[in-house]
Amino acid sequence: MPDDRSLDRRLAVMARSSVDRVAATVDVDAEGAEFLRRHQGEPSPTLVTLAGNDRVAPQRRWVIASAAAAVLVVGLIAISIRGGDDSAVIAPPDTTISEADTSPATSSPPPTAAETALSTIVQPEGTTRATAEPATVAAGGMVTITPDGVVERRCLDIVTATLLDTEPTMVAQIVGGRWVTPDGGGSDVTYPACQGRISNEPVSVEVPVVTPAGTYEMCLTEPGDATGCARLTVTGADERLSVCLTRPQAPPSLVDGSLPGPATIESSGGFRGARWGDADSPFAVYQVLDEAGDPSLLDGALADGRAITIDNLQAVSIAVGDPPLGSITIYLRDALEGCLRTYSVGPGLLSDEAAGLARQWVDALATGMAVTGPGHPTLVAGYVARRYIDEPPFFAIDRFDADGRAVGALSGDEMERLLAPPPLADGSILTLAEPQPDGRCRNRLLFREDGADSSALAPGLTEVRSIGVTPAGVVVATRDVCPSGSKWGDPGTRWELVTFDPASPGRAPQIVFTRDSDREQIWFDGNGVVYAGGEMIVDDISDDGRYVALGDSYHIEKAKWQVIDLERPGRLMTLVSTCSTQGDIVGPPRFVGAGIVVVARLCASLGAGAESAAPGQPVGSGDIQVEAIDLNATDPTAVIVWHGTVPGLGADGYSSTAGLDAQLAADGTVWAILTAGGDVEKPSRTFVLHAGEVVEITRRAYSGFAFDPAALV
Amino acid sequence: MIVAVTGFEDCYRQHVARLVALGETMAGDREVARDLAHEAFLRLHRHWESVAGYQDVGAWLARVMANLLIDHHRSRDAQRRAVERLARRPVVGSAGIEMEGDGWMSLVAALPLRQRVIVTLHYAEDLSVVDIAEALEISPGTVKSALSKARNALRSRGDITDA
Repeated sequence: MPDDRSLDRRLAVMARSSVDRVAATVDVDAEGAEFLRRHQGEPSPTLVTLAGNDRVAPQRRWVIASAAAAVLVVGLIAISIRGGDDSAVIAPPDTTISEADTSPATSSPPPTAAETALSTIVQPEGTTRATAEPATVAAGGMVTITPDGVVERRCLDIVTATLLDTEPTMVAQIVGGRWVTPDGGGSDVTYPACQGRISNEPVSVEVPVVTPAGTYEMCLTEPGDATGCARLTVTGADERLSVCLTRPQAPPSLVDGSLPGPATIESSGGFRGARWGDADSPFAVYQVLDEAGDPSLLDGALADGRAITIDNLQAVSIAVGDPPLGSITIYLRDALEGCLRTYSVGPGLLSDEAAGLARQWVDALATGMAVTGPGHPTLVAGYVARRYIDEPPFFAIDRFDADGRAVGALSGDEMERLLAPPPLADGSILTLAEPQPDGRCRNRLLFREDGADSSALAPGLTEVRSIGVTPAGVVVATRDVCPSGSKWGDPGTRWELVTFDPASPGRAPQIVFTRDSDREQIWFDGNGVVYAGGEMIVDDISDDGRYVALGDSYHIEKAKWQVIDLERPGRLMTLVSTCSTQGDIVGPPRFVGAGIVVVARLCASLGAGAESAAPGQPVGSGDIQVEAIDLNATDPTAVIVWHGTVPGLGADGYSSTAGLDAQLAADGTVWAILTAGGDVEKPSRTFVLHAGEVVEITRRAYSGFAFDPAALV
Repeated sequence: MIVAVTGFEDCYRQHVARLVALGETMAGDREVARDLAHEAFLRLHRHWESVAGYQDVGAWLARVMANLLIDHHRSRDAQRRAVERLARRPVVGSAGIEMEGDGWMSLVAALPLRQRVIVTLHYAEDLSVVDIAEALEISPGTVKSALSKARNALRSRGDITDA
């Protein structure tokens, strides 16, 4: 099965080839004739009459455009073509459009609302008839354009600005307060194709601060329609405002709290901005230049208490997309100065993290103190951290040294190896067929792939739901077993953990543990699909291949973990704990070698939650205790080799789970990284635990930490 | 990229074949693709002065085509559901189209319409996640989710071949 990169490449080649092949079968002349036939009423040999630019007078071109608009607005399909030289002029056969030539509509019955709108749209061109208030405005200010009647506006209220003082006249567009020129700067500015509104309401437009001074015709409609065009004078921008919007103002810090350094000015697609930090860094901050931000967003936040304010400084962070994959905008204003600056951070940040950054900025600006950078506790070894990015596989893993300094990201090859399926002892790999099946009683086909060859692994193990491979090459798999015609919850349906040694192909898969279906655990049953809890999936296997950690979903969003000893089939292990009231194991157990497993367990008084599915695993609430357990110890006092806690740190609220990784140092001591305490839009915190010490290593924009990158996949 | 367009006719000749092909690839139906391509060019003609000087016209047309197709299917599905309710027949989703033709069209035929549109814009037109989100007026997260689901659905197909 192809990996993501290879799949993307193949799909792109197939898609483009397909479109090219189909395009080659399209008869362009026939399509053109059909286009004219459909929209003019009879065939036309060429498209020249529709071109309407070099060969048709402006007045005529405008009428053509209006007629085309009419087709869209009122759905008029029957359009007549007048003879002779006027064959270029398209007009519907009703009087609404015929007024385009000479006179108002007088036909009966009275025009509909849409027709009324049309009759206003189709006015003879002339001087500007809309009004601008004020008639003279400084660049960077607001102007309100009131059309002289009902007009159909440009999509998104785009305004076309024609500078009348130059020869030839200069034309640009104002798109959402942005000055867009057609000479390359605006070439890749895009906006959705949409229908403009039909209305006589005034429109308030920000005249961008970079607008050259002069006399303008500004049109809400297509240029040439006097009803929607107003004349106004733009003067030079107020100097203070100009400085505010055109000069970069360094933020107090980058996303990670480090100093911003010098700015890099960038231009792209009509946008101009300043960047601090490396372009490929998750900590870079961008400032939008030349364009005033929407003050209502900050004003609204001030009104409802969401804004951060200290003295005259005001800020609010607003997510643009879907954090952490989307970027977040921080609006920052000094009320005395009156200038609203707009900064962009992310992707990779949660909303709460961005709000924390905005607060740090305001604090720093108010106090004149620098933002405190991230701490760099010295650990025994380096570690890795995962951050979200906005392209597949939607996360990257960065390395940090023992002093907490970033030392680079995993390469594409390293990521590929990390995401690769598990190899068997002979080098072949196991793969599960996609897509993931919906619901229970549906397994995935299991293949063994060796180069181009693909085959079933074993006759008794053709379909599974999760797999793992021990270092010795023994396959550990889970599957649903459902008698023919049954659905999950019916008698006889069950979940199984099985092992199979490919080195002994004649031997049937061994069933290690089973769990009958439980109707009480069914979350959804409909449309032939059953979703149910009680399923466990293979998470990790000890180096000696004896112990398997299983993720156990007991709620549609929540999970806990179990450990099973393959040499003692038929039961789950009950791991000892120093905790007087043991809650669930809420993080993935880590086998660190020497027979030691490290677990993160709720060490809690029982909460009000219901009993979980597995005996001996009550749902509790409280702090997480990290415990290192010697699975091979014979002396009961030596079973728990170490434990540590972070006071007050509970599991993540939405999933009741925690992140955990651990390693055994050369001196035999255990180091653990625990990530927990988060909730929806509230980032988790990360701590390193070792001996009796707890050191927080939380970093903004990172969502998972581990010693081994594999623990983050 | 600025497309050198000297007039509507040139532009029409430059883009119509690919637009019809793109529509057919997404819709699985040449006639639907032709209808929608004509509609897209009609809109282009209407916005000619503003679009031609400012944008990649081919990309603009592709976005209009994608939106028209989704609107078309919404309308078609609504009509079909109404008819099927009356006839008490099971509803066949919009993914249940029959596509003939080459490998890509067969491959994406089983995808829901929106996923089909998104993967075609992404892979055939090389539009970014953000561009597609803007074009279809949906969030980038929705586009990513649809791309991911579509990839997973397509990954296991044995007919994905190196060209």
